[in-house]
Amino acid sequence: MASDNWTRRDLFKRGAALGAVALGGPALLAACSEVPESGDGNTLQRVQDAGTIKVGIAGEVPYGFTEGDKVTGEAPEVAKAVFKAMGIDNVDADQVEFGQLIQGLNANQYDMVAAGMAIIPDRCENAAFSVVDYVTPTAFMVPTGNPQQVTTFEDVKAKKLKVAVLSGTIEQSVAKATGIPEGDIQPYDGQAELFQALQDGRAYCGALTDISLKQLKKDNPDAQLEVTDGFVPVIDGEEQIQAGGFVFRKGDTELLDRFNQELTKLHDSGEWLKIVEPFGFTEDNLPPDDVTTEDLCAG
Amino acid sequence: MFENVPEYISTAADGLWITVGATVAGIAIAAVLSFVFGLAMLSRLKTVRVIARIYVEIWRGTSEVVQLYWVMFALPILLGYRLVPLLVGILVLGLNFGAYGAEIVRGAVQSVPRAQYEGTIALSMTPAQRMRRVILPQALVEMVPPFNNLFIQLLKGSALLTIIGVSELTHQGKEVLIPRNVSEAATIWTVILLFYLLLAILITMGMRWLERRAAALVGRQPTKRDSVFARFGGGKDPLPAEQSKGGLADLRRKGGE
Amino acid sequence: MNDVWQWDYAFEVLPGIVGGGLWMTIKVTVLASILAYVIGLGLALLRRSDLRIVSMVAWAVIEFIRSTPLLVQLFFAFYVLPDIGLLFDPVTTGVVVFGLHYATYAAEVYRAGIEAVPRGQWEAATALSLPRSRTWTKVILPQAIPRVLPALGNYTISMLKETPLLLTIGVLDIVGVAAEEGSQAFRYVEPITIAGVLFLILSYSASLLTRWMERRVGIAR
Repeated sequence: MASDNWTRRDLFKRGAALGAVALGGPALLAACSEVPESGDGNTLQRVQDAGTIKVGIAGEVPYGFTEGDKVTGEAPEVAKAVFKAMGIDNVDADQVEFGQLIQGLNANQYDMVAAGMAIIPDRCENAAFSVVDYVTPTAFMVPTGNPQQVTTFEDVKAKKLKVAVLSGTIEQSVAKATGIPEGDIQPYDGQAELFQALQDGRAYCGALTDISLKQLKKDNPDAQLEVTDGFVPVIDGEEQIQAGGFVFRKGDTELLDRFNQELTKLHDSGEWLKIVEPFGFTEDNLPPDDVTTEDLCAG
Repeated sequence: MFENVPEYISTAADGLWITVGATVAGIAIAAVLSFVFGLAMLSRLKTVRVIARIYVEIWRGTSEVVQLYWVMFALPILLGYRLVPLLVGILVLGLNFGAYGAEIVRGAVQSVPRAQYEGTIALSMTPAQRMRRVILPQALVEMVPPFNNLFIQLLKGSALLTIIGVSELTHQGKEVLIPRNVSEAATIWTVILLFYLLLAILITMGMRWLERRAAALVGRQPTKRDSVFARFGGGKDPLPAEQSKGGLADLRRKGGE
Repeated sequence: MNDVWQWDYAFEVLPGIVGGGLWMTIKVTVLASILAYVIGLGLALLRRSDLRIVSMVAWAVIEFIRSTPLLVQLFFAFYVLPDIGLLFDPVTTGVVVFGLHYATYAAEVYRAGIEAVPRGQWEAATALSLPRSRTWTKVILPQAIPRVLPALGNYTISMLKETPLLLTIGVLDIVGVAAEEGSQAFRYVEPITIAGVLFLILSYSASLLTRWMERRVGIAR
């Protein structure tokens, strides 16, 4: 057998070759994925030249998720239409946990978040939101018949129930602000885990946007769970209208402005509704004129 | 219950290749770092030893999850660089397990009997010759079984890449299959566990081959083991070599009991 | 992202990470270690059973659990156990999964420890016609267990560093709390760095403890 003549020297030689590949390979790749310091305004130029843009999604049905190899959902599909109008034909996505989206954006992992992220002041301080893309009420998923009659966060607090939320979402902040004890708020990092927790009765109810919950129920018709009527949560007497948008780095103003122009056109032409209907959105989700990103950011 | 299994297998297989790629690349980096820093820890120069020690303690002492988060989200802000998630994962796997591997290399080299060193000095070999011709070939035989364990740990560690969004095997289950088939979670996770088992067996087979080679090169009989599973030195070691994966365990006693 | 490192923010998140996360990390590690050491001993004894079928099953279980990722096992338990009527709270699920996973490692440690007890000890026990159970409890295990303690300690340190996996099922350890704080404030640099430093301190002090044990055991022998 030829390999029996493999000498010790060969062993080391091959080892060294393997080592060179191991060290050289990543270095090469690393160089490729270096990006010019973004957030300084040249992002628009860069993505237009490349004809491709990378967005961040959270794997939340129906906002932004992966189906097979394809990235789809309300936000990515709207984004694709907007970018097409801007001459950018290709939209790639990275999927991260919801709570990591803005950090990933600011760490230049991608150039925009397309996850139907709600516009809230804390987030505005750390990133720049597009114009309002959609509005949605919050709702609870509860056991069929809702034996504890929970329809608001105050009910959860008063009845000392456990509530499941997604980590980093507005619902989590509202639950905390309502004064539900920390131990009764269960943060999960994916919809599937949240849903399973509700099915197993780990928490009485799960709080999420109306649209997400209805979709979850649709996907799992056999589950002994139902979705309550949507409501607008209130913190310190202030209504927290859930309005979602796309998120950019601060400083990428040119990109943001161009994006806003095209997104508004889509909204006005009725094209938007056609894109989002397959994901369970309706006319009711179109943002009213008096709901603006500036107001939402101001709190 | 089982009619969807082919679909689960094919969807999981999409992630399998990423798991394989990340594991192989991670092993390659870890192996190189193991030798570089393992030998550096034995250097006569104090500075070199200290640097190697710092690398080993930092990458072993912090958690892999912390490292993933840090390289993914903190490093780009500090450096103005970004790495794609898969690359972040490979780097962290390599650096983390390289630190464990460095201890294996150091321990194995130190376990080579003293007389062998003395022999090389008597033959007035240069330090490089001693290492390359006499010490390392013998140490290599000692290293293979603990490296086998380490590489399987690395394979298992690659599942954590799902946390930073790499669409590897676990991610395919967690983010793609489970959300749409929650009621069949048992089947889905079983499929994925079996994939990992298969990969672990392949690693073990590869390492057994390497062990036979390495043993033959120094004219020894490889230790007999009844199956590809038997990763432990058949009662040869007083304690499993795997203690290398834990803390500051000293491998010096290994083989020298 | 104004400053790379903000001390104000670091001090703001520190109490939460130490108070909530550190405690959870330690709690899970200690409970799961105890479970692992006990189940591990059981597995090691089953592995040595004279009934081939028993030892084969124990071997298969050990190899399967050891060869597959803890994270996936955690998901498996989280999704599947409730279906068969075992609804543990997330912390218990974590302790059970960690305990079982590391029990398979502990089993191998015990096995090696038992095999290292000189044959003469077995023969002497036979010569004294000690019953088998007394041979184990009075002769073999008292010699084997002290020798394996440092190795078991090392697995506890490994376990410590894997507690962050629990954040996927809603249990917040050091990293869980850090990531939580980070996603509220959109800054990961400070919380994650703090988490890393805490782990470094924890595992370093634990390893000093293990080394001390190694020395003690060395003297006792």
